[in-house]
Amino acid sequence: MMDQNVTELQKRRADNIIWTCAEDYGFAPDFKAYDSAGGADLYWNLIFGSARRHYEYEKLEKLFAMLDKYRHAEVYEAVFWNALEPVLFRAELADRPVLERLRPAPAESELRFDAAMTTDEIVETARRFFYERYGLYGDGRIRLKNRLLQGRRLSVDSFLQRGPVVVHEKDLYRGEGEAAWEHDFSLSTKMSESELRAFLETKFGRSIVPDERVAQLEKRLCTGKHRFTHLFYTRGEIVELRGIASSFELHQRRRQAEVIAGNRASYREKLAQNRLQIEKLSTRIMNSLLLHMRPAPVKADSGALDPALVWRAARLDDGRVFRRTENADAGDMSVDILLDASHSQRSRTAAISSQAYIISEALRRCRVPCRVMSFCSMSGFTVLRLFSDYDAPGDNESIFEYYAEGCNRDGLAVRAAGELISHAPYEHRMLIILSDVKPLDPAAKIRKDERDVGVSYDGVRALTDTAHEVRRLRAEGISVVCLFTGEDAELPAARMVYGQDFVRIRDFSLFADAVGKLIIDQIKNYSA
Amino acid sequence: MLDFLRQEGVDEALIARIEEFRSRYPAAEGDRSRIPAPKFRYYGAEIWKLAITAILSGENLLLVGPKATGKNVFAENLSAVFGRPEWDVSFYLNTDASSLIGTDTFKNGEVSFRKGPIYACAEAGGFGVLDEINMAKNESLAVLHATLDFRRIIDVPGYSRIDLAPATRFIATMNYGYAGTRELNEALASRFMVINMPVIAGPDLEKLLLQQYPTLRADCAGQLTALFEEIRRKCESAEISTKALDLRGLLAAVNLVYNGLSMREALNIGIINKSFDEFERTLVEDVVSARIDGRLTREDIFAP
Repeated sequence: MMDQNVTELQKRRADNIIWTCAEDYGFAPDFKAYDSAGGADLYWNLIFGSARRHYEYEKLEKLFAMLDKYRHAEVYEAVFWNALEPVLFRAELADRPVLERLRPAPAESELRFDAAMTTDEIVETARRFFYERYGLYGDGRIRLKNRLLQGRRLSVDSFLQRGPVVVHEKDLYRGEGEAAWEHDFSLSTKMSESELRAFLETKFGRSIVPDERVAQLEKRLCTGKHRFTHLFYTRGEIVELRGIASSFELHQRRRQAEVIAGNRASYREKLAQNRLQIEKLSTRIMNSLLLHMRPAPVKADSGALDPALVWRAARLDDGRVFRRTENADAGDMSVDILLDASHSQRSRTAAISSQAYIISEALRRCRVPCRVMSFCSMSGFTVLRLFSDYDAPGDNESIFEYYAEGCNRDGLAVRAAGELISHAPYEHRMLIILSDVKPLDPAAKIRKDERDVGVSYDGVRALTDTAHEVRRLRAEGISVVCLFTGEDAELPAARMVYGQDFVRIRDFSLFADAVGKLIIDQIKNYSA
Repeated sequence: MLDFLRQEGVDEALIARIEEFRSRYPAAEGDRSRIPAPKFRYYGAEIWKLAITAILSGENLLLVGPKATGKNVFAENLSAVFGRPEWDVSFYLNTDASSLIGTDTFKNGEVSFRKGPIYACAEAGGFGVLDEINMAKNESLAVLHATLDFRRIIDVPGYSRIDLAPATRFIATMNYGYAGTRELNEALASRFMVINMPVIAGPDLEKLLLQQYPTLRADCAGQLTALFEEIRRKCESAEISTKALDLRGLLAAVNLVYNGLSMREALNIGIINKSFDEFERTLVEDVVSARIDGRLTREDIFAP
């Protein structure tokens, strides 16, 4: 049903037009209209938006739910909108005279409403019409007479052919994701929140943030699409297994240890190459720092008197005998590195840990404070694991403990990282994300009794959210760049989320050049 | 200006005290040119009352508010109302003591002190507008502490110490949470009375448009106001950045139409192009197209 050509951006655009006209941003639009090229249709989306303002939309939603029980629901819905359009047009015209010009030629409609009708009357008229004309009983059954007619193609879709492509969003996101994951998570969802926290402690390491503080953070960060999810912060400090550990847990730990040993071995294997990259990268960053961030004292006609120059004033009548510090000082900077530690990265753990190590080591040599974290999501918790911190760069070695498992809720991780970074006492802050830009986290079903807990996080919805969070950080003055670790297929996603500021490493020998450029571009911005 | 205050509904007693202030501190002849003649008026009786009372009581003001709340317009209006010469200082990352108070320079064969804007303002009893005060580093603002609090002095190392002229006031502005801004420290904030500037309400914006362009047709002013409100709502819902929420751009666009551009062209360069992100620009374009007919020209929107 969804047109392949409709990009995420156009969907967002349609949303925005609808929100503008509805004067409300607190809902997810159900109907959206696109032209045949996949662009958001201005006029029809305005109409959808204005319906929310002029009528009690919940009542209309019930009508749509009724129509959805039928096979050709989109046709019936189109008939309905087609009939409502002239009414909405006239209602809206006073406020937006421009509609006169935007309006396409109105289609003929057998169903008619008039402006004086209340929402109830409209719904009632529509129900009656759908019964009389198409024999819809309203419960999914169709009158026998009409059923016989239905063998042939419905003849009412003139609107669909002439008008814009109308997309009913509600079945758009019923992706495979949710159903496929539900099974895997049925075990953990039986635990309560505190049991889950204990479980995470044994799995990822001791929590480093007190519970009250976590609760505060969750209240602030786990909102919107991340409602009912939780946060867990750890440094990976191992908690001894209490009592008799299950063979499953032991197996897990063994497997983890193997991966970590593999990370280290892989780095050592190409030690020379890796060190060369560190060397190159740190030189590049250092040069750029010197060039762009060093305050430059210059001769000036005011400022601090330079005794060595005073003679020039007396003898040469040169007033420029002062030193002033030019505004080249861009202040100090910090870098945060955020590693995507979800299952999809599993095949690349060795490469990713090496790359993160190279970057943080190069930064350490330039004395740029650097913090390395990884994130993954599990059972509704998004786990942030801290490897090294600004003031403890010596912990860089622990980056090799990077281990990928679970899902990833990129938007929340970026948001949480941003929260940490916002407290960083540095003037210029940069966040480098190593990710394959494939956010996926099934519904957090910790509290099964609540109906709306299922905010599952995948596909375009998750990408938009992540893109949003990235832009939000940028708006706060934190530069966000991505080191893309995924496959070609995900490149458009990376472009959408990070814009221009991402780089893909195709050839490891060019690693330092590519990453260096990414970082240096940001440093240039700081001094600009 | 005082008549304007009466129109806005400012208390007559306050206005009488302003008049008293003005007659007690007449501006020096040489500083007359610094008394601003505002092009825009600030609408909002409540804010006027707060600010006037604070200034009459000898306090400094900090105007806090998001974009397009008229902070600078209001600061300029205040200088005009009190008839004080105004010194504008734009703060930026590297603002330091010497750029505020003054610095050594060479004159007639000897080192002498060149007064900075704060110093000059203090001598003349002017109003100093400290624009975007939170762009500067807190440390470099520490030199202002003695100037801004009860001591009311400026002490220049190596030179004299002067007392502020009694009519001197400082009006700082800041946009909290703007890119590149930082938290104002408590020591500095405590030296100001802080006024939260409300966002300009629809009717006030319409008034402003009509005051600025008296021949603008009322229905067009209404549509432009509605457009601005819609962009603002989009910003508040974090769908777009505040780049396109540009009151100056909107006012300028009307002027461009007056001078011959079509509505579309004018809004393009006045509002839409302020977003540099292509997608964001599309969203703003949609809001504009959903309101304004781009083909409108001067004849359509201005009464003859």
